[in-house]
Amino acid sequence: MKDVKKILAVVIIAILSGCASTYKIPMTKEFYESKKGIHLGTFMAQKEIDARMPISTAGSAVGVQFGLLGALIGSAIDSSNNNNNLTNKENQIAPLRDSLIDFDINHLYHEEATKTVNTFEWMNIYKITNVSDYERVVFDEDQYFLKLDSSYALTKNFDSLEFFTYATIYKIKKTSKKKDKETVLFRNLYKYVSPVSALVQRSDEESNQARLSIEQWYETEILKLDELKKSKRKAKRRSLTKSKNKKLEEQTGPYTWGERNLAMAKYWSKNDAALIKQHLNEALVEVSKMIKLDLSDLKPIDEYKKDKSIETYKRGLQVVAKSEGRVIVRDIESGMAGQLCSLSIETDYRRCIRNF
Amino acid sequence: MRKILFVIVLPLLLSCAPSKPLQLPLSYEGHEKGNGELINCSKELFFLDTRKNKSMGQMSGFPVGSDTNIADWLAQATVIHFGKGVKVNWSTKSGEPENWFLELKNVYAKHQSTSVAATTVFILRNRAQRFKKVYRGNVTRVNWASGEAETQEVLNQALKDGLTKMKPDLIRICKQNEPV
Repeated sequence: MKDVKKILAVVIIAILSGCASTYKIPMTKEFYESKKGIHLGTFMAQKEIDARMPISTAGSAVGVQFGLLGALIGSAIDSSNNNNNLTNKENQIAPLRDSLIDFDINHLYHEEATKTVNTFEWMNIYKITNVSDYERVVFDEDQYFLKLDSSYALTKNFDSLEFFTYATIYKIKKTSKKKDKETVLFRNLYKYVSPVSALVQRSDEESNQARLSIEQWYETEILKLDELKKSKRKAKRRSLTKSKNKKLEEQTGPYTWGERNLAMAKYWSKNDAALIKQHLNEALVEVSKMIKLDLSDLKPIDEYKKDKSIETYKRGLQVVAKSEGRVIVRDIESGMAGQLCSLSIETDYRRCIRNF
Repeated sequence: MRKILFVIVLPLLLSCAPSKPLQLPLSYEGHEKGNGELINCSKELFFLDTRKNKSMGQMSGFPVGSDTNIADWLAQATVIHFGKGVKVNWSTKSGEPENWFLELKNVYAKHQSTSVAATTVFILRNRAQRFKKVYRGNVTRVNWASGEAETQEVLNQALKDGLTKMKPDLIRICKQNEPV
């Protein structure tokens, strides 16, 4: 019995210490000082702007990468919800995608990321690869590889833009096997959160127009009642009134989730999508700042946790840098501890540590 | 019994998921039959492939490519949906401003959770007439096995959706001489 308790204690401690581990892996002083030749790869595999979608995982997510056949039966139930969510999301975001059709964010990202890394005197970049696709980089020799992998998306309710860059330095060793041996020497995440836009509400004008059109439809239909037999008129009138009330509720009340997302996508696409372009450009600048601040920072997160001299922004977040209206914070508490996040001072700090 | 099931199911699952980039032999033939509603067009369309990236998205994290000329795939679909009355010329440059251009801006599939979405994006453009309109074909369906045939099918559906949305405008363009 005692042995069982011991084993349990060991297992629990192992699990808990796993939970408490940080996301960031700082590079060692030796590697930093060695000025090794590094191959830089900037990745942006996204074809168009995306939005987070609510994913149903009530069943199971096991094997989803293999399609539904690879998942458990429970996933079949989720899949129909997810299918609807994805269909809705794809349709809702379409107006914004159309207005960004000639905006080449991938190109701007590669330029900015390359420019940023090239300013590091301590890093000897000897090769640059820009990948705007789902291509895989093939390594022809042993090397050190800095991967900057980025993506961007609107939040689930389309009220804000989020831009993510995962930075990883790998030591790549060619082996006789199919797959190269990859050792992670550095890892961290940089997240940009745009200022939040107020959710679009149905305007009085839209409501009044809808009300007018429904009333006109109702009156036309009521006039047609005379053509019916007297015995059927009462039931038909009742049915028409019910339809009218339902239409009024749907078309003059608050937006449904889907309607609001579509309205938000239209809002973002106004003026040739100027606001979202502004946020995307700002994201590139802020991510560059975070890379500059963090990549060569060798201090472990545990030491940051103990360091009381650093200003606390909110619980679990330390101030790294401040600029006009924005702040860059370091997460020292969540499962992604070590990540840096740039947000407007007016934005809810929880957007840095949770998915919205 | 469990062992037998395991032995049967495991190879099935392994064969379902792509273990390398998908190379689709893109084909529209057999996907749809022409409905006989052909457009007699007085204009010529110049097709331009202006995609920045030539991959067609990803399935299970692997890139989707095509070993077929994308122009052939579109040619098959335009004949089926618009008829042979619409002359489509394959072009590599934007050419004369009075010409009608059909630009392919994007075509991709993406796997998300247990669903797969495919998108095609076209622009119909005439610089002289200041006409520019985006047509977006969108299809989402349950992703059964992330397989080649499944990916091909969903891309075909997205292509059909995009061309169907374009058809009413194309009919007007073809039939009228005045600016649209």
